[in-house]
Amino acid sequence: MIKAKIFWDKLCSELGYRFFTGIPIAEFKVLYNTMAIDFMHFIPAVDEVRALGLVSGASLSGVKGAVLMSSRAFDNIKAQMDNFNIKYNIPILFIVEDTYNPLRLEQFEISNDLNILDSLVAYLNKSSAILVVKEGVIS
Amino acid sequence: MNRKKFLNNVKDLVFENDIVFCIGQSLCNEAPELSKGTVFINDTHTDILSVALGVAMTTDKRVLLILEDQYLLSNFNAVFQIAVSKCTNLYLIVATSTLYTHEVAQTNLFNSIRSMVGVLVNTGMLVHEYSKYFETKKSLKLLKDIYSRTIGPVISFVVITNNRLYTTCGDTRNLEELNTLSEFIKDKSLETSLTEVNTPFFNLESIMKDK
Repeated sequence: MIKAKIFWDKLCSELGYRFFTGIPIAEFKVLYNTMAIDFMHFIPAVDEVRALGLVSGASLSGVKGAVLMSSRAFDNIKAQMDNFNIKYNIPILFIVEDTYNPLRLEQFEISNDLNILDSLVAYLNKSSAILVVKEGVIS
Repeated sequence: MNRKKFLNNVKDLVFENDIVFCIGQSLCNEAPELSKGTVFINDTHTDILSVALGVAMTTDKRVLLILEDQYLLSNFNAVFQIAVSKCTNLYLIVATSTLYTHEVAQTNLFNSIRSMVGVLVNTGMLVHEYSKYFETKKSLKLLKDIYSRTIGPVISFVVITNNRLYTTCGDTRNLEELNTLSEFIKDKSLETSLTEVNTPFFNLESIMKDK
């Protein structure tokens, strides 16, 4: 188990992610409550596709960003991901909770080299990844 | 005014260092090179409106989107996101042909909506009608002056007619060209066309500093 503030500190200060967006989900309540406006920015999105678009746009400007979402919505963004992010190799990080709907991660390259929480990191291609945060890992 | 003439006129409205997203097959194929930062996206199944919003939030340059009414209808969720963002450097020009595609002369739902302007105004966006301005070079020059001082997010409509597709430029930009565009967006040394009034207040620079 890891403290949410340490999670943000690692992601924002060490890895340089400062632009976050997504759809609020109950499982990430602790993460939302510990967000700090002095070193990160969170934008609530209309849906997951818009969230992905926002982070892709920020990525084009050289700002590292991530989408916080539930694994249940992963199918919704598949078309956008394939037609834009993978096609143009635009990097993106998904922070996903998959307790109730586990992702079929065997199709991706799995690693824990991001070294955050010892959580699984599934690489969609060489620049995009899913950071899987299991329930109860963050407090 | 037909689509081809509209696209040629848009060129007069674009400032040198603007970032332009041109979306849709007919617009992409007929549009001239509008600025150094132009990206053409042929594929209408991708949501570029929110990508452009993401760019606008993180740059000090003007971001211009040129799209067709059908694309606006199919990505209307992104309009809500744009409206609440209050991104002062984001501008949309909608070419209203009221057709699904340039190939199928079947009308879409755009004109069936009682008041599209009303819907958009109620989202919080500024809505303009630019059809008259696009008729002559003189009025276009006047519009450019107005445009430089308009505070975004603003959506403007230009009524166009369909024409035979004149393919004047290539297909969707490739990976290399998108990387060039990315470098262009990141280049802070380029002069921006934004004035004091429409400089984005959404400044990520402050939070990009080390904690």
